[in-house]
Amino acid sequence: MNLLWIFLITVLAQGAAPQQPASVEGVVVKMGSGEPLPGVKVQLMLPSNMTAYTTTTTREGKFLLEKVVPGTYRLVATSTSSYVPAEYGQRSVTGLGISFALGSGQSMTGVQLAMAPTGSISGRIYDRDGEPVGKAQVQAMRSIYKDGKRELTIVQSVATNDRGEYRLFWLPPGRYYVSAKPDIPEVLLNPGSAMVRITEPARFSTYEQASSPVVKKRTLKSGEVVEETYMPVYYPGTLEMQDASAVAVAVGATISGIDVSVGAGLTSTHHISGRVINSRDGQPIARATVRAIPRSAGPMVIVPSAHSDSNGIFDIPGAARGSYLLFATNNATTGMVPIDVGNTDLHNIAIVATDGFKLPGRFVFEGRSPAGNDPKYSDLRIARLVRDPTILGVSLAGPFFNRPTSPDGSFELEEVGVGDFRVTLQGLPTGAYIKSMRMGNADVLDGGLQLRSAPENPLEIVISLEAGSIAGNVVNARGEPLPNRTVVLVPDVRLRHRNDLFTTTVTNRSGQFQMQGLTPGDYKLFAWEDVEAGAWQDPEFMRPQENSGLGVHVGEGSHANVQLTVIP
Amino acid sequence: MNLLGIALLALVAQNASIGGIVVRGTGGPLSKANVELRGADNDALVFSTATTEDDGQFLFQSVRPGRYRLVVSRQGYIRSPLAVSVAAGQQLNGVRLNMAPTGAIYGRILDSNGAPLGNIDVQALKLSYPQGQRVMTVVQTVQTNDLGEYRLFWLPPGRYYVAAVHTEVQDPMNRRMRSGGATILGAASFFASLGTVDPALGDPNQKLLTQRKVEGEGYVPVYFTGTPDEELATAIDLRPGSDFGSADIVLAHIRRRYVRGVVIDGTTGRPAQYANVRRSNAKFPRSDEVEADRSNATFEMLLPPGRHHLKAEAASGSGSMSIQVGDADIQNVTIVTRPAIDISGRITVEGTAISDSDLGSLRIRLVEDPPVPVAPAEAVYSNPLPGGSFRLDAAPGDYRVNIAPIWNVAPQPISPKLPAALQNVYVKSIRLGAVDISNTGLRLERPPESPLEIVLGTNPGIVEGTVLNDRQQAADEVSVVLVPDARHRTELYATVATGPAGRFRLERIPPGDYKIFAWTDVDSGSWHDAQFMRNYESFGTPVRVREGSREDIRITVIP
Repeated sequence: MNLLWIFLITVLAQGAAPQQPASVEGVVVKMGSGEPLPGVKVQLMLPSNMTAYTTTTTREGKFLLEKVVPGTYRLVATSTSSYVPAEYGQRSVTGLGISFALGSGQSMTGVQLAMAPTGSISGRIYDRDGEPVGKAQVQAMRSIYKDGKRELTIVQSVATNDRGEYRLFWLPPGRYYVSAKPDIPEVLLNPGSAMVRITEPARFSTYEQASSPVVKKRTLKSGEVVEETYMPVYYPGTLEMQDASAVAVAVGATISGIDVSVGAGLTSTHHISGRVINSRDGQPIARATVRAIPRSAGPMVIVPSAHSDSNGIFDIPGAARGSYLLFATNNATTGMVPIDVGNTDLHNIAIVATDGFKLPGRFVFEGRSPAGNDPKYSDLRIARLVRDPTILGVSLAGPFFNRPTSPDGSFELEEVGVGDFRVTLQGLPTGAYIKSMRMGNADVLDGGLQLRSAPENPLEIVISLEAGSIAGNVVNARGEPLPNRTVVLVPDVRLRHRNDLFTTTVTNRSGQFQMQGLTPGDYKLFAWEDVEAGAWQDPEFMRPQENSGLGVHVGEGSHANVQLTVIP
Repeated sequence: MNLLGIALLALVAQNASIGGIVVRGTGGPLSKANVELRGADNDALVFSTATTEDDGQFLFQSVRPGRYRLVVSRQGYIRSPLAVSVAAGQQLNGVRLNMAPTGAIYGRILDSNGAPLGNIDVQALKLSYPQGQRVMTVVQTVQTNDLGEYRLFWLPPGRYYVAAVHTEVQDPMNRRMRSGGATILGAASFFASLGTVDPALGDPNQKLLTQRKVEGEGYVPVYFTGTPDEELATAIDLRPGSDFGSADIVLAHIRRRYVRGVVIDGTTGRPAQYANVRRSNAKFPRSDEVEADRSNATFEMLLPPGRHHLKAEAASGSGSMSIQVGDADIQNVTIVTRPAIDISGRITVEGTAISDSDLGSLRIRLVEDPPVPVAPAEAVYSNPLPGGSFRLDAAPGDYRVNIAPIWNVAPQPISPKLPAALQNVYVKSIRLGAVDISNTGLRLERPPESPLEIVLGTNPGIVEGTVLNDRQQAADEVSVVLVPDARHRTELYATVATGPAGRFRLERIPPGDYKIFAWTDVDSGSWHDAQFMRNYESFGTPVRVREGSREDIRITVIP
């Protein structure tokens, strides 16, 4: 079915009465100077992120989108990579905008979109003798909240040239951390392309990277052979992320002189060797991939790995000192063991791996659906077993294709591996919430799903059809409605570790918001003028904020209507 | 002294040492050079490494007697590995590892308005002639920054071409994640757990319902100084340690042109049924495939400027045609399909007997003349059966016979290993009836009346000798090239580098007339370039090779 049909059907589904075409008109300017920007692509996008209409600004920076079918849209302007994309309703350069409705025959005029020029960071990377390092990987990173803790995430990766020079560019305004790591330390028989990742500037779209260590062998004058690798060094010159200094990039700023010496990153590495055997029969497992995954967090994870030979024996070089989780996989057979690497090689590590096992379970519906219709078990299923904490380098374990749940609510997942998981569901009916998730005595909602072998008890999931909901609006001190403000429902202090109990949304154009499918309990509602995503999970951040929240009790099937005053 | 002591002493006396100095071109010592002592045959086995200090010295002790390679690397310099060997107890000192400084090529990539283009791939390419066919290989890729600047560096001295490739040309998924060297795992957590994809980035695979349609425009790779045609690219000669700047390229939208035509069934003269037309391209054979209209077999393709080889496949057979796309659309292209012609053949061996299984390892294929890039999956070949019979089939056209791995007239997508029993085997003749087609090639128009007879000889000639420099001393690390008088016979070229004492040995040479050349510094394959050879004809030494002959000659290096 081609795109045109999908679009028309989507739009027709929105309203049946004969519609008059709508239009949107406005101008795109450069943030700061206000000068008009020609040649900018302006798009009306559907809620599904598909583009519905497109045009380009004229020499005066003006645009007109006409013959628009009435509906709900977002308006986004994208230019060359020298500018950050801008969206109607944005409240900051990297913030999301809001969607708006275009009624029959409505002409939206006078829209102004300001686009922020991107900036750059440049400098030199050199070694402990002050000589330039070529083909070093340099990354720009941003600090974000992840599960209530501050972590770095990678925005861009570039490589230095033979003079050690690098340039990070197309950066949206913000504070960046810069790290450098030689890609091929001092050994370069054939310099291929270093790891480089440059994208058009995006308001939010970052990544982590897991890579194999590059181990260098060196024979000392004494005859002893040492193995070393380079760990990333953070500007201005530290191995610890928390001691890194941020570089502030204002709108369109070019920051130069951000030089980093990578000498401090040279670390000695050791071998981890041992054997992988099968728990079923004690036989060695050949061709298993064994990865040593560092426990320490960070966006750039160095994962030493190796394959086991025909006797199940593996020898992994390149492990720097630290704590690791040794993870072995061979198709659905998995095994893991935590280890600590100190100053010497580790020998005789046995990893007992379990064949992929079955995970039986059962869904149970409770309560009555407010809509009155009977939900079907066959619509409900386990979407994924997500590793929690995430293990970069080991993809989602567990079945990729599940059979549908039986009409009586029972299901069975196949080929499940060992690990700690978070269970995600698919097909939860509206107005329902997960009341409990247990495996024997273990509370899976609270402690996660910890699998070490085929489970003795089934996974029992109770779905209540009587979730609570909250609707409301956010106003300022003068009682005026505020659009595009973040509203967060924060669970009781004792349950703050339950990520699933936090609900986040933003107010619409009229300052209104809704939350559904809420688990009954005691909560606090907060609406912020400006808040960094995820800050609400940080106890340090929340401590001074506690009293500014509105206490809300959510009961089974309850509906509350509230008015929140924004927290400045 | 007891027996153990004597034994230990003997062991110690056995051990040799290899020491020397790493220097740069002008003679000064090089620090921070990484010297590896590796096995001579097994490249991967590194026995020991040493990193030089300011004095450039290195020393490997307790070396067991044998053959080795010294592999040295250092930022900004290059040299090929050096073969060394030590006897028991030998102290090999003063090994000089002379490194040549590398160079850089830099410039800017701009669009047609003169504005800089960022995140454009810029490649350094080298021209080579595997089996006589012109091939451009990418040796390095870098990206431009937001100012459009790029710098290709650590390039060994030599001849380079530079190409700029717009990100649009690449596969959209590839564009987002480029990797080299180390692996990128964790692709599952590609985007941060908090955010979703910025909708402004859009879905690269999505087609836009645009209000302004842009047809036929796109980006193609552009070669310095500014042409999409690989054959018109300007070469850059990089001298040791020098830089070549201002290598700017304007990367403009190149208008692709429509190529329209029809596929005709050659047997009936009517439109071919179920025809598909594609651009023959070794890397992405199916990338430009179009379906011809099912009722009248007309087709339409959008192609960038340059030479293209179109191939049509239909129910009635296949056909092909070369076209040159320039500044305008091309209409009325007619591709005639013909059914494949069956050819039976027999391969026999004169001289030493060869087992059926060894003979069966040969891969016989008809290669189009002139050669056309072919994807590995499309290279259909035939192995001889016990008794030496084989069958081939091909559409009418001009061909040469390729017998891998002993007789390669064109680069093979996959080359099988040469079994030991076939080390001395060469192709003595390829006949179709009375005609020796190894020299003339095969024009296939109708089923041949006689079978294709391939005769293998087992008594080839050997050409060996010594190369001297202008001071009449043995010259090692010199490239010796045996060039056949019949210059188009790419399979007859042979080349080897001289070893210690300037000695060389070329084996398995089919009888015939040749000229032998010796160069110190030459790009591999340049000898296939007629223009290049014109400068050196008088420096070659004629050699006539006969069956089983052994020629031993002395030649001088070309200055």
